[in-house]
Amino acid sequence: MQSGKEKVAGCKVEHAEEVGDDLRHLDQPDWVKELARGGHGHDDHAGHGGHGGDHDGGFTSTRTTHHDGHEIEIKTTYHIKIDGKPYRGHLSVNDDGHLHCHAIPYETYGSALDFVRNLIDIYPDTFATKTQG
Amino acid sequence: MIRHNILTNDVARQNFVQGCLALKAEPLGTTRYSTYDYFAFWHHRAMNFMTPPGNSAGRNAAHAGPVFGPWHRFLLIVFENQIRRVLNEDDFRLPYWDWAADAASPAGSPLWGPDVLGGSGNPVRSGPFRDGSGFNIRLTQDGNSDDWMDVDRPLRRGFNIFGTTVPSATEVTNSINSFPFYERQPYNNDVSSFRWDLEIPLHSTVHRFVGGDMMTTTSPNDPVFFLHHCNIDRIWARWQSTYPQALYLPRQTAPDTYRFHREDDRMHTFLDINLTPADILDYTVYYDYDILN
Ligand SMILES: [Cu+2]
Repeated sequence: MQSGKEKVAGCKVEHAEEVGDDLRHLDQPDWVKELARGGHGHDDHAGHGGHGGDHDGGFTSTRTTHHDGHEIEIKTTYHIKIDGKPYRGHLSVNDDGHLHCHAIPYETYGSALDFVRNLIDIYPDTFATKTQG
Repeated sequence: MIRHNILTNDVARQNFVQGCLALKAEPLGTTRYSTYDYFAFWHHRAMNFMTPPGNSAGRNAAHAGPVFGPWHRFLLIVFENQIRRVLNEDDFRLPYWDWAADAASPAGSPLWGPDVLGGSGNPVRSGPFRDGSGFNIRLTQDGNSDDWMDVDRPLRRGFNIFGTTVPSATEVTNSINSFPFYERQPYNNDVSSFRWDLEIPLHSTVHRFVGGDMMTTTSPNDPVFFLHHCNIDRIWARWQSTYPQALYLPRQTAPDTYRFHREDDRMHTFLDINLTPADILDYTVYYDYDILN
């Protein structure tokens, strides 16, 4: 059996054929896509599975639990527009009610307004500064 | 071979800086990207792959679940191997930033000096990765789509904008003492565990303190990512030595819902390598730490 050490020692990334000629076309590794097709992963280009995305860029997050023999389901939908354009990133709501989003992975938010303010500050490549002076 | 504290080992510091610059200068095949950029790309793709689809807790192929520890250990070893190759220094091992030692004044750490990483700024204007050094960011997450976009601009840091502290040595010790178990059901951020404590209060706080490029899914764009995660790996190693009988969880008998996180699952990679969490629990075949605490 090959040890973990032998496995990693043999892997290099310096050759284009190892990672594809153009990263742009490298969506997910083939074996991961294969698993995703079987319904066991979520491909960021293939729609948003259990999170319903709609035409306005809204995201619905579904939380379910049981309490005292009762079944509970809570759907939360956010419609966010920035400068009139729908926000298309991925959002979800944790059990504690905080907003979690792919774009700011190291933070969760009690306020969606705070989230959008931070989003604009963190992504100046996407949201150019409009404030004067 | 030993992983050292970057602030107390000049050779490790110089090799790390030179290694990052050399990997940034090395074209990745015929693309406009470099070998260095590959790590930001890989991290972004793993982080945007939800496991399973639609889980509201944000668990993905590298974060918010059990594989957080092993997957980042894997990425660091691959990066370390690349520096060894590009510098032709087989004894090189990644250094770490013991941020807890700088908790009283993280912005005042010598780490941000001109001969280590340079300081805060948009763009960063000091140190080896400063604006004009050639260490340009070539790809970043698109803030509006979760995909990534091409850019060609200098590195950004913003201390104290999204977070003003880094965890203290007491917080690290408390984390280790509080959790004799690695994970527990439902293996996500809705319940606490050592993995949760390591990832959320300890690890994420440091990303927020540094700010700038460290706030995004392409955070390996900032070399401090590797020094920070090396320290996170060191804390996990300390936890492993504190609880040598504790198991990695979940075992392979857990349902497919936990695919990418179970002990014998293949971890997310573009490389032709089938590496599992179980393969990588014993890190001593790759490196050791000078001190664990
Ligand atoms: Cu990460």
